Amino acid sequence: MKGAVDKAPFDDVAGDISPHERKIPVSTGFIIGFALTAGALLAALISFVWTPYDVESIDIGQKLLAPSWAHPFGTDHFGRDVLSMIMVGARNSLAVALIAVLIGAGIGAPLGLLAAARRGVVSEIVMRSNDVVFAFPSLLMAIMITAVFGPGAINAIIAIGIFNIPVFARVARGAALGVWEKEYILAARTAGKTQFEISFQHVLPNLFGLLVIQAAIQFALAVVAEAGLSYMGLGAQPPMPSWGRMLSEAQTMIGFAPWLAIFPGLAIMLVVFGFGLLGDGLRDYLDPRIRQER
Amino acid sequence: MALLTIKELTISFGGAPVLNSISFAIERGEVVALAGESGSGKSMTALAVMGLLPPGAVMSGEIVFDGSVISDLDEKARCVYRGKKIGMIFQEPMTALNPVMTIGEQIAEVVRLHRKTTRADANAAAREMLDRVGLHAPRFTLGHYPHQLSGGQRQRVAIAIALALRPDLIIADEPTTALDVSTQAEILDLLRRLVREDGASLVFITHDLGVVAEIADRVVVMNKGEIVETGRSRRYFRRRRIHTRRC
Repeated sequence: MKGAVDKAPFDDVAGDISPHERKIPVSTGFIIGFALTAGALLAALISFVWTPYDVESIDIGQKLLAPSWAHPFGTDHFGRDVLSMIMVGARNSLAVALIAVLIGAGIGAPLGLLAAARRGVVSEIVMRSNDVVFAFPSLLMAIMITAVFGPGAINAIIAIGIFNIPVFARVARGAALGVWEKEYILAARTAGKTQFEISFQHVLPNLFGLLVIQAAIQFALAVVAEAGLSYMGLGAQPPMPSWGRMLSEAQTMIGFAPWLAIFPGLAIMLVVFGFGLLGDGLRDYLDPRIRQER
Repeated sequence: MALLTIKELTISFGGAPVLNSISFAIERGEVVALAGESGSGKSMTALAVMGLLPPGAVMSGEIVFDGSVISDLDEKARCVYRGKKIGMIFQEPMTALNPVMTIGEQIAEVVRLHRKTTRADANAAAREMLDRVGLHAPRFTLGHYPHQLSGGQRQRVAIAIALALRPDLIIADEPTTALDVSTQAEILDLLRRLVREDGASLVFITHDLGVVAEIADRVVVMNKGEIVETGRSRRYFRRRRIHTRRC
């Protein structure tokens, strides 16, 4: 180390430089968020190979049993095991939310970048068409789309995905406009880069943290939206279990079998909560500036 | 033949002129200081040469680089010149580097942009440039982020990026203004040495006459969008006139 300093004796050395590979302390929130999302993901994955009981077989003799060792979350009015149904329902919730968010970010973020880079007419067209989508209450539109194209998981994905596009476009454009004013963008232009290259190589990496947080929020909202659609019977169709439909079926029995509503409700809440925490933690991890301060 | 010739360059915004028919030329290997107070049009001249005038600017006149007119080229053709033949260094080293890319990536990227080369070769070129600007391994690796460096060190990285492709012309827009005095001297020494080694021409924009005397062969003094004085810098300092005596 000393030899290196001797080779380059500056007056402007700002303290000791911490190595890039320094260990990063992780926040408690991130650990909880990671545990919750990992738990949900694990439950969904395990359900492909194993569930405590078969979710499609009806056993009326076992109906409406309170939580016990044999059925930790109890059974429903058809005698199906609630734990098994929640595990299988996790697949549906996570897959719908994930794909919908990917559609939103995959189309929305590039549109926002384009609007920021080109400004003028292009920007107006992109943002005004976003306004059109924004103008309709999203759940109402999602109901309309599934009503027209038929209920089902695929149409739920499309309906939720479409409403994620303007969210990402708006966030990306707003932040990108700020980045475009920075001197390093001018420096990149003097280096001979095109707007396209600058957008994806310089602007996008600067927005990455922001988009990850937004994705986590949208993911949480998409889980809720999917639950809402299934609640109204417009999401995944029976016999495929889904958290939203479990809630709606529990509604009439909540007085004598509260576990039917409590467990799917808890599942939705914990996944939403987990993704919020995960998004925050990831932002801290992904941003090198925050990373050093920690 | 001069490397860069500016002929009757006029720039205005919404009818208000910021540059008024200025003309000057820069020879190969020459260091020219473009001096003048704030708002005299120094930076606007530099941006016009790069073809990066802010939207709304109306330009007339001609800019000839290495025998070809570059002032009327379209954006795509301009990109060939930028970085490869003309490099630029900015005033504020704190914001001139992308905070989320390592310094190695930022240098290597410029190399890869203009030259068909492998990632490894570009990284080797980046390493070589860091050594040339005095940021030696192992203390300064390609994996450092800008926030881990001081202002002077960042300005060295910015110089490494601008000079990575050994351009014929380097435009430095007040590269020492944001730095403290001893760092200024180091950066000036470094720039002068690198420009001489590469045989490049340097346009040095400054409002600091001490810096002009230090670095320039020739000085062009601007005031309110016009060239008011020009001459060899040594002679200029012997008989400077009213425009700059008060600075």
